[in-house]
Amino acid sequence: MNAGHDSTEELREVILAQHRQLDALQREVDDAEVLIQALNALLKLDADAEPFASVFDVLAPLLQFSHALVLVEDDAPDASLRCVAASHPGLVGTAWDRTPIISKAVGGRVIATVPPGTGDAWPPDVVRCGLSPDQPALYLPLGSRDRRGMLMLLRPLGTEGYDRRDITVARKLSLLASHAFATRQANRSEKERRRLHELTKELRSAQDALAYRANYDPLTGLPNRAFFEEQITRATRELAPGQKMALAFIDLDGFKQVNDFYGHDTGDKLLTAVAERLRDHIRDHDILGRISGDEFVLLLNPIADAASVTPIVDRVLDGLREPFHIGPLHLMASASVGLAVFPDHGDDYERLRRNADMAMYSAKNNARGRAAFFEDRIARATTSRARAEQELRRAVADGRFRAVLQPKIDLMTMRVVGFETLARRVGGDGSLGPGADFIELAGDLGLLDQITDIVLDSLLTDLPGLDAAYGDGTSISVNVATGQATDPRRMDAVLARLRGTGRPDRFVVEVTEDALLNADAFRDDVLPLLVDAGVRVSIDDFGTGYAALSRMVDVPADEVKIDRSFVTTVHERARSQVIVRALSTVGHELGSSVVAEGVETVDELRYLVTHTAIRYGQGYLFARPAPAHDLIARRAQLLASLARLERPPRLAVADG
Amino acid sequence: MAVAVESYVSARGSTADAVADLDAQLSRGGGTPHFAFVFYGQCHDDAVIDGFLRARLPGVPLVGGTSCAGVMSDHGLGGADSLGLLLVHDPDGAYGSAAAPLGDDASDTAQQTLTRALASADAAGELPELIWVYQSPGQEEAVIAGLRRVVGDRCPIIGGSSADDDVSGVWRQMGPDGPMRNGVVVGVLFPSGGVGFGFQGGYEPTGEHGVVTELGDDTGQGVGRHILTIDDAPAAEVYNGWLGGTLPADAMEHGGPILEATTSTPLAVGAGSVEGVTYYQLIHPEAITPQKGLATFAAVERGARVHGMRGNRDHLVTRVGRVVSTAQSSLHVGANDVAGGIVVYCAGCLLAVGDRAPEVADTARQSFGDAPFLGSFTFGEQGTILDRNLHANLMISAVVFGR
Repeated sequence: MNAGHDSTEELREVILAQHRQLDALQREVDDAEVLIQALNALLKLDADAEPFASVFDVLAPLLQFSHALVLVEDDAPDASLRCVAASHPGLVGTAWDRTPIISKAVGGRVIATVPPGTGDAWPPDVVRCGLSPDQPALYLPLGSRDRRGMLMLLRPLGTEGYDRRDITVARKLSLLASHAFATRQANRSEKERRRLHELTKELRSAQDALAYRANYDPLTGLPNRAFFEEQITRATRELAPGQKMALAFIDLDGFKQVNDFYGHDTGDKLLTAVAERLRDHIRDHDILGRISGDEFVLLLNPIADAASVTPIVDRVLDGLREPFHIGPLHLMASASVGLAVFPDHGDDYERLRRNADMAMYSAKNNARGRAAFFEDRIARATTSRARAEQELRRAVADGRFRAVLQPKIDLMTMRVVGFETLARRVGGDGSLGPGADFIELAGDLGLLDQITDIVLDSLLTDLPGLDAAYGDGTSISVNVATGQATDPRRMDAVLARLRGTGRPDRFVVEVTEDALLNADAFRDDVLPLLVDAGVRVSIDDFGTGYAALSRMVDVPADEVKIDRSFVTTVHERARSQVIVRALSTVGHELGSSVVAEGVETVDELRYLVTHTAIRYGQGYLFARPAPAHDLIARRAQLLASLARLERPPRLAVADG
Repeated sequence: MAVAVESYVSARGSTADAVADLDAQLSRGGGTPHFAFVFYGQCHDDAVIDGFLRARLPGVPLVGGTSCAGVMSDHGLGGADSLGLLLVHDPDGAYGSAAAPLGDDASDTAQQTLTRALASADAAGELPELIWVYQSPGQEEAVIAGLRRVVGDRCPIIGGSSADDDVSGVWRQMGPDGPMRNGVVVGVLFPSGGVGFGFQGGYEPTGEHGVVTELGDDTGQGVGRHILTIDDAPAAEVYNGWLGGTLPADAMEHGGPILEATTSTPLAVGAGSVEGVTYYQLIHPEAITPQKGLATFAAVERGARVHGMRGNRDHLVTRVGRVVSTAQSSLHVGANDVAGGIVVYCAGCLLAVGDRAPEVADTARQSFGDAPFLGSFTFGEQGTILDRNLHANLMISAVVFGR
C-alpha cells in the first residue's frame, strides 16, 4: 500500500494490475446483482409458471443476446434434444440433432463460438425463424437429477461474439439455470425453495463483500478513488443551476519520512488515525475518500460560495495539527490542501480533480500545512513544473551534472584542509546551476541516487589533479541525502566507490540532522559500513534539523558543521552568539571537529576566532564553490588571499 | 484430474545426443502429454528433432522452433546448443495445433491455420482459452490480423518470432507436420485448470517523441517497417539526435545495422492508457536505410507518434519475474496452484543484459517457484496490451497453467 517503485514501468504495471482488479471486482458485483435478481424472479413465481422467461429478461442486458433457447435431452440417451423454452415462442418444440458442440455443452462445457462456426446444420424450423448457425453463440449446460440440457444464447449476425469474460459469467449462470431447470422438472418443493433461498443469501453476502472491496479502501474504510469519482459525477449531475460544491485535495506533508523512519506499519496506523480525525471535522453530508497512499479527497456539497469553505478547511487543518498517538509514539502531522470549486474551476470530476491537485501542490510548495484555492496562475506554474521535471530527467539521462568544491579552512593556520563536494547541473550553455534549483525536485522524482553517482564520477575524475595542487592530505566531504543515508544498500554502493580510490579514510560523508531522526537505522545499519570503510561522518546544517540532541549520543559524529544561519552577522547578534558557542561546546565535548559554515565577512571570522573554539570554517570569505580545474588554476591566488586574512588572537583553546 | 507440466532440457553437443538424452529423461516422466512446446538452438538438426517427436510424442499437438542462443528453463540457462521441451498433461482439457508456410497472404494463412488447429483439437468453431503462435519474423502483423479475423481480441494471442543467433535468417519453426523455414505454427489451448498470462516491456519513455510523417518502401522486414521521416525530417537523424548522436557514424553515413546499438534505446508507440498512464508497444530499429530511414522489427503507421525509450539492465533482468507474477495473478490462484508455464523473452533484451543472462533464467525460476517452465528467446513477440492482441519488440511474455 505504501510501497515505492523503482521505475515508471513498474508503476505502470501496478496501476494496470490494480485497475484490472478493481474492474474485475466491479464486474463481479454487477454480475452478482443480476444473478440475484434472476433468482428472486424465480422465487416469486407460481408453481405452474414458466421460469425461463423472467430469467431471460434479467439476463439479456448482462450477456446481450437476441435469442435464447433451452434444449433438453429427450428420454433416450444419445437422443436428440428438444427446445422446451425460448425467448421466441416459435422456437419451442423444435428438435435438435446432437452435434459435437451440443454434446459438449450438454456434457458440462461452456462454449463461445468463433467464425466460421461449426458447420453443423440447424433444424429447418429454426432456420425458418431466421436463425443461423453462423450467429455468434454461447452454449452453457443445464443439469438436473435425470435430465440434461443446455442454454443457447445467440447474437445477431455480424456482431461481436462472446468472449472469455462472458464464459466466466456463463459458468455462474449455468448453476442458476440448472436450478430453474430443476424447478421446472420437479414439483416445486419446500426443499427446492430453501436451496434457492440459501443461494440467494450467499450471493447477496458475496455481492456485499465484493461491493465493499470494489468501492472502499480496506485500510481506512473510506470510499476509494473509483467510488469517489462516481459520487462526484453523480453530484455534478444532480446539482441545481447556480449551486456550487467544492473538491478538496488533502495531501499529508512528510508522510514518506514517517514510513521511512518508523516503518509502514506505523504509517498505516497514522493514515487510519488521520482518516478518523478528518471525519470528525467535516459535515455529516460531506464525503471523504482516500484515493492513494497519503492523499485524501473531500467533497463539500453544497456550499454557498468559496469563502464558506474556508472555516471547514481551517477546522480540518487545525485538527490535523494535534498530535497523533500511535503506540508509544507522538507524531505530528500537517496537510496541504488544494481546493477547486464547481463549476468555477471545472464542471466535471477530471477537471476539478486536476485543478484541486495543482492547488494542493501550490499550497505545499509555498508553505506546508496550508490551503489554497485553484487559480489560473497555478495552472501556469504546474505546467512550468512539468517542464522542469522533464528537463531534469533529461539532464540525468545525459549525465549533465558536475562536482564543484568549496575549500574548508583551518582558521588558525589559514590553510586549506579539505573540500566539500557540491552538485551542480550543467546547462545547455555550459553554465553551472546551483543545487537549490534541482535537489528538492530530484528528491521528489527519485533521481538523487543517479545524480549522486554522476557527481561522484566527476569528483573522482578531478581528484588526482586536485591532489597534485593541494596535496592528498586534504579531506573530501560528500553530501548524502537523508533517504540515501539510511539505506544501507545505497550507502554500500557509495562506499564501494570511495574504497576504490585506495584512500577511503580521507572521505567524509555529510548527512543532515534529519538522518538522525531514524538514528537506530543509521547507527545499526549504516554507521558500521562507514566505520568499516574508514570513512568519517559529518553532521551538516547542525542546529536546524528536527533531531533531539539525545540522538547525538546514539550517533557519534567526527564533525559537526554549524549552519550558516547562526554564523551570519554573529558578531552583531547576541542570540546567535549564544547558540554558536553552545553548539561549538556540544560538538567539542562530544569529540567532534566543529566547522562554521557560511563565513562571509572578516567580522564574522574575527568573532569566531576570538570568542569560540571553532577550528574550521567554510564560506565565501575564503572561497566560493568552484570546479576543480578552476581551484587548481587559481591555487596561488587563493592561498595568497587566505594568507592576507587577519588572524586575531584566540581567546579559547583550539581543539585538535 | 489436475493439470501437470514437465520440462526437459538437453545441451549435448549433437542433435542425436540431445534427443537421446531427452528420450531417456522422458522415460522417467509421466506418460503421453496433451500438448508440447519445443525450442532449440539454431545448431540443431530439425529433421532429427522432428523424427524424435513423431516417434516419442505421436499425435501430440505441438508448437515451437529455433530460439536465439538456446533456451532457458527451471534448470537455468541452457546454452546455445540446448534443446528444450515443455509437456502439458491435461486429460480434461483440449489442445490442438496446425502449421503452414506463410505464403503470399500471411493473414489468410494464419486464419486458415487457426481453423485447422481448432479442428485438430476437436473444437471447431469454439473460442479457445488462449492461442499460442510461433512464426517466422517479418509478417507478424499480418499473422495477427488473420488470427483476429477469427477471435478478435476475445481471447489472448501470445507467442514469438523464431530466432537465430545472429540475425542471419536461419530461424525455423516446428509444427505437427515438421519443420519449416518461413511458416507459422498455431496452438489452441483449452486448459482445464485455467491459464494466466502477462506481456510487458522493460523500457521507459525518455520524453523525446515525434510523428511518423512518411513510411518508406518495404525493406524486406514487412510493410510499415521502414520509417522514412519523423516530423518531416530524416528518421535516422531525428532518432540519432534523441540519442545524443551515439549511433554508429558509418551507419549514419551509408546506412547499416544498428540492432545492437539500439537495444537499450528503442522506439515505441502508445497502446492505450489506464488512469492517464500510457502503455507502450515497443519498436526495435534494426538498421538505418540508405534513405536515412529506420528499418524496424515491428510496423508503425503513418501519423503515429513514436516515443524514444530507454532500458536499464537491472529492469530487464528483474522484469521477467514480474511478468511471471502478473501471469500468476491473472490466473487468480496461489503460487502452489501453478502447474508450469512458458516464457518468451526478446533476444534483443538478452543482448542488452549481456553477461547477466543467467540471472534472467534465475529470476524466472524464482517467480515460478517449484513449477517447471521453458523459455525461448525471440526476434519479435506477440501478446495482449490492454485487451488488444498485437505484435511488438523487446517484450517479455509468460503463460502459466493452473493445476
